Amino acid sequence: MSTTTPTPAQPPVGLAFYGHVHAYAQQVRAHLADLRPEQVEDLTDGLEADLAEAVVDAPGALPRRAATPGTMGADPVDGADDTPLDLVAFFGLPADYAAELRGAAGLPPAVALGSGAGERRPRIGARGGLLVLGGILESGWRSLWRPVTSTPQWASVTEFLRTLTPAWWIVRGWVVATLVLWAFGGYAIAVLPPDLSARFVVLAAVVVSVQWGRGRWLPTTWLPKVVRPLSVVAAVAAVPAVLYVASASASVSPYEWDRGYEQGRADASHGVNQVAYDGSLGTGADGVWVDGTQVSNLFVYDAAGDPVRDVQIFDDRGRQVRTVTEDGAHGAWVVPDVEGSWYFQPTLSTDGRERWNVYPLRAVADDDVEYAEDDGRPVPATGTRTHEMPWPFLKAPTAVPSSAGSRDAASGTDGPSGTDAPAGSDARPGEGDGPPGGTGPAPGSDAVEPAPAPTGPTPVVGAIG
Amino acid sequence: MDTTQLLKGVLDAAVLAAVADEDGYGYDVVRRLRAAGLEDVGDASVYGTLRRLYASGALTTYVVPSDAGPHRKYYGINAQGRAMLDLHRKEWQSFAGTVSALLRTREVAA
Repeated sequence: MSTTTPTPAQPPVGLAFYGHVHAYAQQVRAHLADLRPEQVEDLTDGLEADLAEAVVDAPGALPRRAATPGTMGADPVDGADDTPLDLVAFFGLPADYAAELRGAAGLPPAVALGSGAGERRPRIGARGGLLVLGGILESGWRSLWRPVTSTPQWASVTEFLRTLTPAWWIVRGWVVATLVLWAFGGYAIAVLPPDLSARFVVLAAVVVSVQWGRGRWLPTTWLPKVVRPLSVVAAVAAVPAVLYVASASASVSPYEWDRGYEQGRADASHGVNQVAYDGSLGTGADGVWVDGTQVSNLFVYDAAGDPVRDVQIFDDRGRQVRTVTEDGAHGAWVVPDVEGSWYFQPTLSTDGRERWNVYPLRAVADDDVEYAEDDGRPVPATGTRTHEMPWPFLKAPTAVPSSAGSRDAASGTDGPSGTDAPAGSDARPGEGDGPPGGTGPAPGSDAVEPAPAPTGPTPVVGAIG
Repeated sequence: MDTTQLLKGVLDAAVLAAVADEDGYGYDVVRRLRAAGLEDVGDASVYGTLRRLYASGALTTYVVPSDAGPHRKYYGINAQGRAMLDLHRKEWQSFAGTVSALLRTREVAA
């Protein structure tokens, strides 16, 4: 007991001092552990402040040894272990303090655990022990958070949240009604149910919840035991319910918009009816696309507007231009002006390799198809042949002058009619016999102009590879 | 005479009167009571009384944060508390008059 105080008039306010005060308050709480946590909280909220001020207010309470200015600093003010003993000397035993506190508050005296009367012991039982244990744990939990919960910020936060409790009553009623309607009435989770009677249920639940929150309409016999678990359930269920409603309402417009867009896109592609192989491909997919529609086949006309067969097409990087990709080779295609489904076939080069960039591609009807043993790709069945697809024009609508330096004669064979677009637009090559009949290399054999005649720069099949 | 026993019966009225004019926190009320002459009043008794009066609806409470230390819980009187205090006053004056008269006669008689 050699504690000295620098200046007796100054209150011993320091962290260690509040630590001792807090320790005493915690012992008091421990002696109230048989009460409900909120009762303990209610009884001891602000106790530290009261204790501290009581100590500070009564300088004689703490045994301050004749403090001489010369010895100040010789002993730490707050470090001594006897300070909590001093609190006991001032306030009495925490057990007595707690007993006085609860007695004045009109609460029953503590249930004696060890020295209880014989007739009370059986009543305590396991449940009482659990309650005491729970109270001690609760107290420990609270003391764990006390550095946070005793701050002014925490007080203002809880004060703020307390003002929101009426809103919570409304939400609680809504959640319970919505869940009941959802589980037993088959209603969708929404802010308000669609029909009047269900809305009345929601409204009634909200009113009851608010009244319960105000302490009205509460039958004292059984409801208090129900309200608390119900509130917990509602609080837990409120989160997904609110999130569901929020997401449902938020996604309405984009979803509708998206669906309308997709619908319009589908209508457009069906209306064109150009290619029906696989509509799910985006414009970034492999293949050749024109105006948002995938191209199945290419038809080449020379400068004079005449069809050119077996043309190899490369892009500016030297890559083969393929309208039919690896996947597309396995699927059936719908071709304009021709009935049925068609499987495009590659051209075989002289070294036996398949070349998909030789146009126009030929195709085999789905009746004549069989599947290759190696990769399952549709190939012409034995005894069938590929067919040339119909050309869009007998002649290209517009003949273009040859590039500088090329032979003019190449395009000069049919000069006047080359500019005559209608002539080619009505009579298409191969129209007379159609693809199944047009087995030969000349689709327009009975047409006016024998189109396939190779003109100047046109490579022939034999030149491939 | 053990005044603490007497105090128990009037603690409610005393505490209500202590906060009738001005809100106060727990130890504040203790200090007012002691300053008024009730030196023997116990801290915990006052705190418990404050809680009980609050629980019965006679007081309001609010927490005032403190920069230096733990927060303080203030108590203030409300209409119900004032009505209760008035009732206590009447009862006490009647009771005190009776007891005073009784004790005076005894004292004279003794």
